[in-house]
Amino acid sequence: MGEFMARLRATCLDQAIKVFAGHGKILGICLGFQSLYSYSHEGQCECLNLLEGEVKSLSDYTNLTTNVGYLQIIDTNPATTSFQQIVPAKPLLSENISTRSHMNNNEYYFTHSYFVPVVDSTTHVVQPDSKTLITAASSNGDNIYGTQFHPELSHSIGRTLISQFLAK
Amino acid sequence: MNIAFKTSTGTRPRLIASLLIIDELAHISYGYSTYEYVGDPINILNILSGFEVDEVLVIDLSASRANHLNLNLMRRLRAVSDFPLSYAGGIRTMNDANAIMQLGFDKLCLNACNPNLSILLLQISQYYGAQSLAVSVDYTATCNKRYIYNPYTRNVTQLSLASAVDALPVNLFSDLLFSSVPRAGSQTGIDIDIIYDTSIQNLRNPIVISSGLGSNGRELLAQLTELHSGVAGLTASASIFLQSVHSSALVCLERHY
Repeated sequence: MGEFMARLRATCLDQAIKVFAGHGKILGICLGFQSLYSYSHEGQCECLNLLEGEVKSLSDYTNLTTNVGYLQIIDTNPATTSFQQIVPAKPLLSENISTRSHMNNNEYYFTHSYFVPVVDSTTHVVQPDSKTLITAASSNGDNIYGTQFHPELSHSIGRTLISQFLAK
Repeated sequence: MNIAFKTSTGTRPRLIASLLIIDELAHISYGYSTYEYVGDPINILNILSGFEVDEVLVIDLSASRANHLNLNLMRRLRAVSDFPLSYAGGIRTMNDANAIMQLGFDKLCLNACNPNLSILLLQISQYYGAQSLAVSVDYTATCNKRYIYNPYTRNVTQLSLASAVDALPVNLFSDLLFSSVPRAGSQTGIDIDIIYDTSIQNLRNPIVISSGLGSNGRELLAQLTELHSGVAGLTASASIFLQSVHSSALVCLERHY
Protein backbone atom coordinates (compact mmCIF):
# COMPACT_ATOMS: atom_id res chain seq x y z
CA MET A 1 0.00 0.00 0.00
CA GLY A 2 2.83 2.39 0.83
CA GLU A 3 4.30 2.07 -2.65
CA PHE A 4 0.85 2.39 -4.24
CA MET A 5 -0.05 5.57 -2.36
CA ALA A 6 3.37 7.06 -3.03
CA ARG A 7 2.85 6.52 -6.76
CA LEU A 8 -0.64 8.03 -6.62
CA ARG A 9 0.76 11.12 -4.93
CA ALA A 10 3.77 11.38 -7.22
CA THR A 11 1.45 11.47 -10.22
CA CYS A 12 -1.23 13.62 -8.49
CA LEU A 13 -3.74 10.82 -9.14
CA ASP A 14 -4.76 10.96 -5.47
CA GLN A 15 -6.06 14.51 -6.00
CA ALA A 16 -7.71 13.54 -9.28
CA ILE A 17 -9.56 10.67 -7.58
CA LYS A 18 -10.72 12.92 -4.75
CA VAL A 19 -12.01 15.51 -7.22
CA PHE A 20 -13.75 12.82 -9.24
CA ALA A 21 -15.29 11.41 -6.05
CA GLY A 22 -17.20 14.68 -5.71
CA HIS A 23 -19.45 13.81 -8.62
CA GLY A 24 -18.53 10.46 -10.20
CA LYS A 25 -18.98 6.82 -9.26
CA ILE A 26 -15.95 4.95 -7.98
CA LEU A 27 -15.53 1.21 -7.50
CA GLY A 28 -12.33 0.26 -5.68
CA ILE A 29 -11.20 -3.36 -5.93
CA CYS A 30 -8.87 -5.12 -3.47
CA LEU A 31 -5.95 -2.72 -2.92
CA GLY A 32 -8.04 -0.03 -4.61
CA PHE A 33 -10.79 -0.72 -2.08
CA GLN A 34 -8.36 -0.52 0.83
CA SER A 35 -6.97 2.75 -0.50
CA LEU A 36 -10.41 4.35 -0.09
CA TYR A 37 -9.98 4.26 3.71
CA SER A 38 -8.19 6.69 5.99
CA TYR A 39 -5.07 4.79 6.91
CA SER A 40 -3.28 1.53 6.14
CA HIS A 41 -0.97 -0.36 8.45
CA GLU A 42 0.58 -1.89 5.33
CA GLY A 43 3.31 0.63 4.70
CA GLN A 44 2.02 2.84 7.56
CA CYS A 45 0.52 5.42 5.24
CA GLU A 46 -2.38 7.83 4.92
CA CYS A 47 -4.83 6.79 2.21
CA LEU A 48 -7.55 8.56 0.23
CA ASN A 49 -9.91 8.99 3.21
CA LEU A 50 -13.09 8.56 1.16
CA LEU A 51 -14.35 5.96 3.66
CA GLU A 52 -13.75 5.89 7.40
CA GLY A 53 -11.66 3.08 8.81
CA GLU A 54 -8.22 1.55 8.84
CA VAL A 55 -6.61 -1.29 6.94
CA LYS A 56 -4.99 -3.85 9.23
CA SER A 57 -2.92 -7.02 8.97
CA LEU A 58 -4.81 -10.31 8.84
CA SER A 59 -2.10 -12.03 10.84
CA ASP A 60 -2.63 -9.64 13.77
CA TYR A 61 -6.33 -10.50 14.06
CA THR A 62 -6.80 -13.99 12.64
CA ASN A 63 -4.93 -17.26 12.38
CA LEU A 64 -4.27 -16.47 8.72
CA THR A 65 -1.37 -14.73 7.06
CA THR A 66 -3.28 -14.49 3.80
CA ASN A 67 -6.88 -15.07 2.76
CA VAL A 68 -6.92 -16.72 -0.65
CA GLY A 69 -9.88 -18.41 -2.29
CA TYR A 70 -13.61 -18.27 -2.78
CA LEU A 71 -15.83 -17.06 0.04
CA GLN A 72 -19.56 -16.59 0.31
CA ILE A 73 -20.43 -13.02 1.17
CA ILE A 74 -23.07 -12.20 3.74
CA ASP A 75 -25.32 -9.14 3.86
CA THR A 76 -25.00 -6.97 6.92
CA ASN A 77 -27.67 -4.32 6.47
CA PRO A 78 -29.44 -4.99 3.19
CA ALA A 79 -32.38 -2.70 3.90
CA THR A 80 -30.34 0.47 3.95
CA THR A 81 -27.35 -0.07 1.79
CA SER A 82 -27.05 1.21 -1.72
CA PHE A 83 -24.53 -1.55 -2.40
CA GLN A 84 -27.41 -3.98 -2.35
CA GLN A 85 -28.36 -2.62 -5.73
CA ILE A 86 -25.22 -3.89 -7.40
CA VAL A 87 -24.16 -6.97 -5.44
CA PRO A 88 -26.26 -9.88 -6.70
CA ALA A 89 -27.96 -11.03 -3.51
CA LYS A 90 -29.13 -14.35 -4.88
CA PRO A 91 -28.67 -16.40 -8.03
CA LEU A 92 -29.96 -14.56 -11.06
CA LEU A 93 -29.42 -17.24 -13.67
CA SER A 94 -29.41 -20.41 -11.65
CA GLU A 95 -31.64 -22.31 -14.03
CA ASN A 96 -29.43 -21.65 -17.01
CA ILE A 97 -25.92 -22.08 -15.73
CA SER A 98 -23.85 -25.04 -14.73
CA THR A 99 -24.05 -26.62 -11.31
CA ARG A 100 -20.49 -25.50 -10.62
CA SER A 101 -21.41 -21.85 -10.95
CA HIS A 102 -19.94 -19.52 -8.38
CA MET A 103 -23.09 -17.46 -8.75
CA ASN A 104 -25.18 -20.26 -7.30
CA ASN A 105 -23.13 -20.05 -4.14
CA ASN A 106 -22.73 -16.25 -4.05
CA GLU A 107 -18.97 -16.81 -4.03
CA TYR A 108 -16.32 -14.23 -4.84
CA TYR A 109 -12.57 -14.61 -5.16
CA PHE A 110 -10.45 -13.08 -2.40
CA THR A 111 -6.69 -12.76 -2.25
CA HIS A 112 -5.24 -10.42 0.36
CA SER A 113 -3.00 -10.15 3.42
CA TYR A 114 -4.54 -6.98 4.90
CA PHE A 115 -8.19 -6.28 5.61
CA VAL A 116 -10.69 -3.72 6.84
CA PRO A 117 -12.36 -4.60 10.15
CA VAL A 118 -16.14 -4.24 10.06
CA VAL A 119 -17.07 -0.54 10.27
CA ASP A 120 -20.23 1.53 9.73
CA SER A 121 -19.82 1.65 5.96
CA THR A 122 -19.49 -2.13 5.69
CA THR A 123 -22.32 -3.54 3.64
CA HIS A 124 -21.18 -7.13 3.20
CA VAL A 125 -18.91 -9.33 5.25
CA VAL A 126 -17.11 -12.64 4.94
CA GLN A 127 -15.84 -14.99 7.60
CA PRO A 128 -12.36 -16.22 6.70
CA ASP A 129 -12.02 -18.23 9.88
CA SER A 130 -14.26 -19.41 12.67
CA LYS A 131 -13.87 -16.25 14.75
CA THR A 132 -13.47 -13.26 12.50
CA LEU A 133 -15.74 -11.18 10.30
CA ILE A 134 -14.04 -8.92 7.79
CA THR A 135 -15.34 -6.34 5.37
CA ALA A 136 -16.09 -7.77 1.94
CA ALA A 137 -17.74 -4.66 0.48
CA SER A 138 -18.44 -1.09 1.53
CA SER A 139 -20.14 2.03 0.33
CA ASN A 140 -20.58 5.61 1.49
CA GLY A 141 -24.26 5.19 0.65
CA ASP A 142 -23.93 7.32 -2.43
CA ASN A 143 -21.24 7.03 -5.10
CA ILE A 144 -18.21 5.38 -3.51
CA TYR A 145 -18.06 1.59 -3.62
CA GLY A 146 -15.37 -0.87 -2.77
CA THR A 147 -14.90 -4.62 -2.74
CA GLN A 148 -12.15 -6.54 -1.00
CA PHE A 149 -12.86 -9.40 -3.41
CA HIS A 150 -12.13 -9.44 -7.12
CA PRO A 151 -15.33 -9.28 -9.20
CA GLU A 152 -13.21 -9.37 -12.37
CA LEU A 153 -11.92 -12.81 -11.31
CA SER A 154 -15.24 -14.15 -10.02
CA HIS A 155 -16.81 -15.32 -13.26
CA SER A 156 -20.46 -14.58 -14.03
CA ILE A 157 -21.37 -13.27 -10.60
CA GLY A 158 -18.48 -10.81 -10.80
CA ARG A 159 -19.43 -9.69 -14.30
CA THR A 160 -22.99 -9.14 -13.05
CA LEU A 161 -21.73 -6.96 -10.22
CA ILE A 162 -19.63 -4.85 -12.57
CA SER A 163 -22.50 -4.55 -15.05
CA GLN A 164 -24.88 -3.45 -12.33
CA PHE A 165 -22.35 -0.95 -11.02
CA LEU A 166 -21.90 0.56 -14.47
CA ALA A 167 -25.64 0.68 -15.06
CA LYS A 168 -26.41 2.31 -11.73
CA MET B 1 -5.04 -40.31 14.15
CA ASN B 2 -5.62 -36.59 14.62
CA ILE B 3 -6.78 -35.15 11.34
CA ALA B 4 -8.30 -31.90 12.60
CA PHE B 5 -4.88 -30.35 12.91
CA LYS B 6 -5.73 -27.00 11.46
CA THR B 7 -8.64 -24.64 11.97
CA SER B 8 -10.81 -24.64 8.91
CA THR B 9 -11.06 -21.31 7.15
CA GLY B 10 -14.17 -20.05 5.46
CA THR B 11 -12.68 -20.40 2.02
CA ARG B 12 -13.84 -23.31 -0.06
CA PRO B 13 -10.93 -25.48 -1.20
CA ARG B 14 -10.02 -24.74 -4.80
CA LEU B 15 -9.62 -27.10 -7.68
CA ILE B 16 -6.72 -25.63 -9.63
CA ALA B 17 -6.17 -26.60 -13.25
CA SER B 18 -2.46 -26.95 -13.95
CA LEU B 19 -1.51 -26.02 -17.52
CA LEU B 20 1.99 -27.12 -18.50
CA ILE B 21 3.38 -25.33 -21.56
CA ILE B 22 6.26 -26.54 -23.70
CA ASP B 23 7.11 -24.66 -26.89
CA GLU B 24 3.84 -22.70 -26.63
CA LEU B 25 1.74 -25.88 -26.56
CA ALA B 26 -0.12 -27.45 -23.63
CA HIS B 27 1.24 -30.78 -22.38
CA ILE B 28 0.71 -33.36 -19.69
CA SER B 29 3.71 -34.46 -17.64
CA TYR B 30 4.23 -38.09 -16.70
CA GLY B 31 6.57 -38.25 -13.75
CA TYR B 32 8.40 -35.12 -14.92
CA SER B 33 10.13 -37.25 -17.55
CA THR B 34 7.83 -37.70 -20.54
CA TYR B 35 5.31 -35.27 -21.91
CA GLU B 36 2.19 -35.56 -24.04
CA TYR B 37 0.69 -32.81 -26.16
CA VAL B 38 -2.90 -32.01 -25.20
CA GLY B 39 -3.83 -28.88 -27.12
CA ASP B 40 -3.62 -25.17 -27.69
CA PRO B 41 -3.29 -23.33 -24.37
CA ILE B 42 -5.43 -20.37 -25.41
CA ASN B 43 -8.23 -22.62 -26.54
CA ILE B 44 -7.97 -24.59 -23.30
CA LEU B 45 -8.19 -21.43 -21.18
CA ASN B 46 -11.25 -20.34 -23.16
CA ILE B 47 -12.89 -23.66 -22.36
CA LEU B 48 -11.86 -23.49 -18.71
CA SER B 49 -13.36 -20.01 -18.48
CA GLY B 50 -16.67 -21.39 -19.70
CA PHE B 51 -16.55 -23.95 -16.93
CA GLU B 52 -15.90 -21.21 -14.35
CA VAL B 53 -12.72 -22.90 -13.18
CA ASP B 54 -11.57 -21.92 -9.68
CA GLU B 55 -8.02 -21.04 -10.69
CA VAL B 56 -5.38 -21.93 -13.28
CA LEU B 57 -1.66 -22.38 -12.76
CA VAL B 58 0.32 -21.84 -15.97
CA ILE B 59 3.71 -23.56 -15.89
CA ASP B 60 5.98 -22.55 -18.76
CA LEU B 61 8.61 -25.26 -18.81
CA SER B 62 10.28 -23.77 -21.89
CA ALA B 63 10.80 -20.48 -20.07
CA SER B 64 12.37 -22.32 -17.19
CA ARG B 65 14.74 -24.27 -19.43
CA ALA B 66 15.63 -21.44 -21.83
CA ASN B 67 15.93 -18.73 -19.17
CA HIS B 68 13.65 -16.55 -21.27
CA LEU B 69 10.06 -15.53 -20.45
CA ASN B 70 7.50 -15.84 -23.23
CA LEU B 71 5.68 -12.59 -22.46
CA ASN B 72 3.80 -12.55 -25.75
CA LEU B 73 2.11 -15.88 -25.06
CA MET B 74 1.46 -14.98 -21.42
CA ARG B 75 -0.20 -11.74 -22.49
CA ARG B 76 -2.53 -13.69 -24.78
CA LEU B 77 -3.32 -16.21 -22.03
CA ARG B 78 -4.17 -13.47 -19.56
CA ALA B 79 -6.43 -11.80 -22.11
CA VAL B 80 -8.76 -14.81 -22.33
CA SER B 81 -8.84 -15.55 -18.58
CA ASP B 82 -11.50 -14.13 -16.26
CA PHE B 83 -10.35 -16.25 -13.36
CA PRO B 84 -7.34 -16.19 -11.00
CA LEU B 85 -4.23 -16.98 -13.01
CA SER B 86 -0.90 -18.01 -11.50
CA TYR B 87 2.43 -18.32 -13.29
CA ALA B 88 5.45 -20.56 -12.81
CA GLY B 89 8.58 -20.93 -14.91
CA GLY B 90 11.82 -19.03 -15.37
CA ILE B 91 11.38 -16.42 -12.65
CA ARG B 92 14.93 -15.58 -11.62
CA THR B 93 14.90 -11.87 -10.89
CA MET B 94 12.57 -9.14 -9.68
CA ASN B 95 12.46 -7.86 -13.25
CA ASP B 96 11.08 -11.24 -14.35
CA ALA B 97 8.47 -11.04 -11.61
CA ASN B 98 7.49 -7.51 -12.61
CA ALA B 99 7.17 -8.50 -16.25
CA ILE B 100 4.67 -11.27 -15.46
CA MET B 101 2.71 -9.36 -12.82
CA GLN B 102 2.38 -6.34 -15.11
CA LEU B 103 0.61 -8.58 -17.62
CA GLY B 104 -2.11 -9.04 -15.01
CA PHE B 105 -1.17 -12.39 -13.51
CA ASP B 106 -2.44 -12.72 -9.96
CA LYS B 107 0.22 -14.89 -8.42
CA LEU B 108 3.74 -16.13 -9.02
CA CYS B 109 4.77 -19.64 -8.08
CA LEU B 110 8.43 -20.22 -7.24
CA ASN B 111 10.03 -23.60 -6.78
CA ALA B 112 11.63 -24.31 -3.40
CA CYS B 113 14.87 -25.15 -5.26
CA ASN B 114 14.97 -21.83 -7.10
CA PRO B 115 18.54 -20.60 -6.47
CA ASN B 116 17.29 -17.06 -5.85
CA LEU B 117 14.31 -18.10 -3.72
CA SER B 118 15.10 -16.15 -0.55
CA ILE B 119 15.74 -12.81 -2.19
CA LEU B 120 12.85 -13.22 -4.63
CA LEU B 121 10.38 -14.05 -1.88
CA LEU B 122 11.52 -11.02 0.08
CA GLN B 123 11.43 -8.60 -2.84
CA ILE B 124 8.18 -9.83 -4.39
CA SER B 125 6.28 -10.07 -1.11
CA GLN B 126 7.37 -6.57 -0.12
CA TYR B 127 6.19 -5.13 -3.41
CA TYR B 128 3.13 -7.22 -4.31
CA GLY B 129 2.21 -8.78 -0.96
CA ALA B 130 2.46 -12.34 0.31
CA GLN B 131 -0.88 -13.24 -1.29
CA SER B 132 0.79 -12.84 -4.70
CA LEU B 133 3.30 -15.60 -4.06
CA ALA B 134 3.18 -19.38 -3.89
CA VAL B 135 5.97 -21.87 -3.36
CA SER B 136 5.99 -25.33 -4.90
CA VAL B 137 7.86 -28.24 -3.37
CA ASP B 138 8.56 -31.25 -5.62
CA TYR B 139 9.33 -34.50 -3.87
CA THR B 140 9.60 -38.23 -4.18
CA ALA B 141 9.02 -40.82 -1.48
CA THR B 142 11.43 -43.58 -0.53
CA CYS B 143 10.82 -45.98 2.35
CA ASN B 144 8.02 -43.78 3.69
CA LYS B 145 10.32 -40.74 3.72
CA ARG B 146 9.88 -37.81 1.39
CA TYR B 147 12.89 -36.21 -0.31
CA ILE B 148 13.08 -33.05 -2.35
CA TYR B 149 13.33 -33.32 -6.12
CA ASN B 150 15.31 -30.51 -7.75
CA PRO B 151 13.72 -29.71 -11.14
CA TYR B 152 16.72 -27.59 -12.15
CA THR B 153 19.18 -30.48 -11.88
CA ARG B 154 16.47 -33.13 -12.40
CA ASN B 155 17.78 -35.08 -9.44
CA VAL B 156 16.37 -36.29 -6.15
CA THR B 157 18.29 -34.57 -3.37
CA GLN B 158 19.23 -35.83 0.09
CA LEU B 159 17.14 -33.02 1.59
CA SER B 160 14.06 -34.24 3.43
CA LEU B 161 10.70 -32.60 2.90
CA ALA B 162 10.61 -31.59 6.56
CA SER B 163 13.98 -29.84 6.34
CA ALA B 164 12.98 -28.04 3.17
CA VAL B 165 9.72 -26.80 4.68
CA ASP B 166 11.45 -25.73 7.88
CA ALA B 167 13.82 -23.56 5.85
CA LEU B 168 11.05 -21.69 4.05
CA PRO B 169 10.16 -18.14 5.18
CA VAL B 170 6.47 -19.04 5.39
CA ASN B 171 5.25 -15.53 6.19
CA LEU B 172 6.46 -14.25 2.83
CA PHE B 173 4.10 -16.28 0.65
CA SER B 174 0.63 -17.74 0.56
CA ASP B 175 -0.04 -21.12 -1.08
CA LEU B 176 2.37 -23.99 -0.51
CA LEU B 177 2.09 -26.62 -3.26
CA PHE B 178 3.32 -30.14 -2.70
CA SER B 179 3.91 -32.10 -5.91
CA SER B 180 4.69 -35.79 -5.89
CA VAL B 181 6.92 -36.36 -8.91
CA PRO B 182 6.12 -40.05 -9.49
CA ARG B 183 2.39 -39.38 -9.33
CA ALA B 184 2.44 -36.63 -11.96
CA GLY B 185 0.05 -37.59 -14.75
CA SER B 186 -0.69 -40.97 -13.21
CA GLN B 187 -4.27 -40.29 -12.04
CA THR B 188 -3.62 -42.97 -9.40
CA GLY B 189 -4.59 -40.75 -6.48
CA ILE B 190 -3.00 -37.88 -4.59
CA ASP B 191 -0.51 -38.33 -1.77
CA ILE B 192 -3.13 -37.58 0.88
CA ASP B 193 -0.85 -38.81 3.66
CA ILE B 194 1.22 -35.68 3.30
CA ILE B 195 -1.35 -33.76 5.35
CA TYR B 196 -0.32 -35.89 8.32
CA ASP B 197 3.33 -34.96 7.88
CA THR B 198 4.34 -33.18 11.06
CA SER B 199 6.45 -30.70 9.11
CA ILE B 200 3.38 -29.07 7.61
CA GLN B 201 0.80 -29.53 10.35
CA ASN B 202 1.52 -26.24 12.06
CA LEU B 203 1.80 -24.12 8.93
CA ARG B 204 -0.70 -21.30 8.50
CA ASN B 205 -0.24 -21.27 4.72
CA PRO B 206 -2.93 -22.67 2.44
CA ILE B 207 -1.78 -26.18 1.50
CA VAL B 208 -2.31 -27.33 -2.08
CA ILE B 209 -1.71 -30.96 -3.04
CA SER B 210 -0.59 -31.58 -6.59
CA SER B 211 -0.10 -34.62 -8.82
CA GLY B 212 -1.99 -37.88 -9.07
CA LEU B 213 -5.53 -36.57 -8.89
CA GLY B 214 -8.03 -38.85 -10.56
CA SER B 215 -11.52 -38.00 -11.69
CA ASN B 216 -12.90 -37.53 -8.19
CA GLY B 217 -11.43 -34.09 -7.48
CA ARG B 218 -14.58 -32.33 -6.36
CA GLU B 219 -15.73 -35.23 -4.19
CA LEU B 220 -12.28 -35.45 -2.65
CA LEU B 221 -12.28 -31.75 -1.87
CA ALA B 222 -15.66 -32.08 -0.17
CA GLN B 223 -14.32 -34.90 1.98
CA LEU B 224 -11.20 -32.94 2.88
CA THR B 225 -13.33 -29.96 3.84
CA GLU B 226 -15.54 -32.10 6.03
CA LEU B 227 -12.48 -33.49 7.78
CA HIS B 228 -11.07 -29.97 8.40
CA SER B 229 -7.91 -31.30 6.83
CA GLY B 230 -6.44 -27.88 6.21
CA VAL B 231 -6.10 -28.60 2.51
CA ALA B 232 -6.85 -25.40 0.62
CA GLY B 233 -6.76 -26.86 -2.86
CA LEU B 234 -5.86 -29.61 -5.28
CA THR B 235 -4.32 -29.20 -8.69
CA ALA B 236 -5.52 -31.24 -11.61
CA SER B 237 -3.94 -31.75 -14.99
CA ALA B 238 -4.14 -35.19 -16.58
CA SER B 239 -7.56 -35.84 -15.08
CA ILE B 240 -8.89 -32.68 -16.73
CA PHE B 241 -7.18 -32.88 -20.09
CA LEU B 242 -7.35 -36.60 -20.77
CA GLN B 243 -10.39 -38.80 -20.82
CA SER B 244 -8.27 -41.71 -19.68
CA VAL B 245 -4.58 -42.31 -19.14
CA HIS B 246 -2.65 -42.08 -22.44
CA SER B 247 -5.85 -41.28 -24.34
CA SER B 248 -6.21 -38.58 -26.96
CA ALA B 249 -6.31 -34.94 -25.95
CA LEU B 250 -9.56 -33.76 -24.49
CA VAL B 251 -10.63 -31.12 -22.04
CA CYS B 252 -12.91 -33.09 -19.80
CA LEU B 253 -14.20 -31.05 -16.91
CA GLU B 254 -17.61 -32.56 -16.42
CA ARG B 255 -16.29 -34.99 -13.87
CA HIS B 256 -14.91 -32.16 -11.76
CA TYR B 257 -17.39 -29.38 -12.32
